[in-house]
Amino acid sequence: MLCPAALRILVANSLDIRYIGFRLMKEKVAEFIPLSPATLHILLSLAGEDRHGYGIMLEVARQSEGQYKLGPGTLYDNLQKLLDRQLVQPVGRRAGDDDPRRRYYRLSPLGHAVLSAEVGRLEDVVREAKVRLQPAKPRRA
Amino acid sequence: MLRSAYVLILRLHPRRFRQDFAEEMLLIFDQVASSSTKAMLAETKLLGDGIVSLLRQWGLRPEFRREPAVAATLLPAGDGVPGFYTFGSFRPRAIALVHGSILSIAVLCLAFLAIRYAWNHTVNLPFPMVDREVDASADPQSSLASVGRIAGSALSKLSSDPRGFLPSQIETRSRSTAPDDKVSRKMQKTLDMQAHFSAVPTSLARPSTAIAPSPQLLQRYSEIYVAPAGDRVSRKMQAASERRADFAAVPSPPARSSAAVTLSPQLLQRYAGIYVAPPPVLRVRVIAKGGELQIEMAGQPMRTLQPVSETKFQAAGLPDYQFEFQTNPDGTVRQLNIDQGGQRVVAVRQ
Repeated sequence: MLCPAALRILVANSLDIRYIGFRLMKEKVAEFIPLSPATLHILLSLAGEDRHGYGIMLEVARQSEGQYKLGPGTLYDNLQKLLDRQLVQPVGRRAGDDDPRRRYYRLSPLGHAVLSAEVGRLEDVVREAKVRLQPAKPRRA
Repeated sequence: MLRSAYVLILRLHPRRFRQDFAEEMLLIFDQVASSSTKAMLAETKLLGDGIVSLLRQWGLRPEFRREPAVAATLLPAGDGVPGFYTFGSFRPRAIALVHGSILSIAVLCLAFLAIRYAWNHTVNLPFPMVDREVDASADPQSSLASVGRIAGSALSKLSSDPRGFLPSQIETRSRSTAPDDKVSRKMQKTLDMQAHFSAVPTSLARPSTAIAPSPQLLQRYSEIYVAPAGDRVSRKMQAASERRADFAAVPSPPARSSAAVTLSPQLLQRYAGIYVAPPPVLRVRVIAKGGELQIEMAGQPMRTLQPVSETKFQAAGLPDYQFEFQTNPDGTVRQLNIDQGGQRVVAVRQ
């Protein structure tokens, strides 16, 4: 059994470590913000489930209602960067009916944090835009 | 056809990108082509996307072109023999091998060309200064041998040639027979050497013997060398002999002869004196003796100056030097200009 003093120190240290980890994660996330449209769409398409390259392309087209279409060159160029920065991690190949040449990708915890931060930033932008774009009320005489 | 072009474009991508994604990109191409109603248009778009990707990868993504570092592996040690860390997966890139091969072949070709045309350059042999006191009746061949070892050895080689081309025969023999390149080259060198040395004993009356060949020698050169068409060596020899024949037709320059310009003893006496050039100090002594000027430069023997004009002289045995006296308006000599090979040294009279 731990004495209360030791327990207090352990909890404090644990909180410190968590706080330091939170600070580090926040600083790291800030490096990626803002995201390019392609990166945002890819991360967003991977937020729900693991997908392969063609699946990401279809999901991006669906999310944007066909307004934004990714070509394979752009997709894999961005995937290469995201893999290199560890925002996305490869899952490997799936057995079953799938084509064995397909590789699946998953959003990493860091990628999830970056996506959340970017969505929050965009929310602020949208809120600010709504305020600015409201029609001016006529002043009382 | 478009698929083949797409495959080619994928192959042109950087190696790392190709290994990671080319298979999937081709899979997407196949799926799009099979599922699209306008397959041709979709394939063309994908082809354009591939070209853009190719340019982007080579132009904008240098950081992804580097191969991941290969961890060194320790070879298993056997029987107490120490192991070595090796990079087992290392091998030169294919393009590096191609470039190396091209470079090696180019260097080899240059070396062969250099060897092939090495004979075409004039050989500047360090001929010793020929003294004028050589006996005029001496045999050219013996004087040739006494002057320089190189010239003598070349001549002896030629004399001992199994084809029997002795120098005297070379001068008189017709060249209408099919010439051998090697023999032609030897003939050329021997004739050049004789042009240098045989002029020495026969031109005692003239200064600067080395650059004024005798008429007999020029006559020897005025032959036409006939060679089969296409023989480059013989063509060059023929052109050279024709040039020499033209030169032989020109009479010897009278300016070099002492009989052409005769100066009065009074004038020569005016030139006599001590001349000193600025640092590095060159002391020149000029004396008038026996109706001719003699010059003595520091560390050199006394030489006779042959007049070229009233103020210009040339020293015997120094064909490259020209001496010019410059006078003041009142007739007194001010300085002596010594020209040699485009350089001038001005010695002021003391």
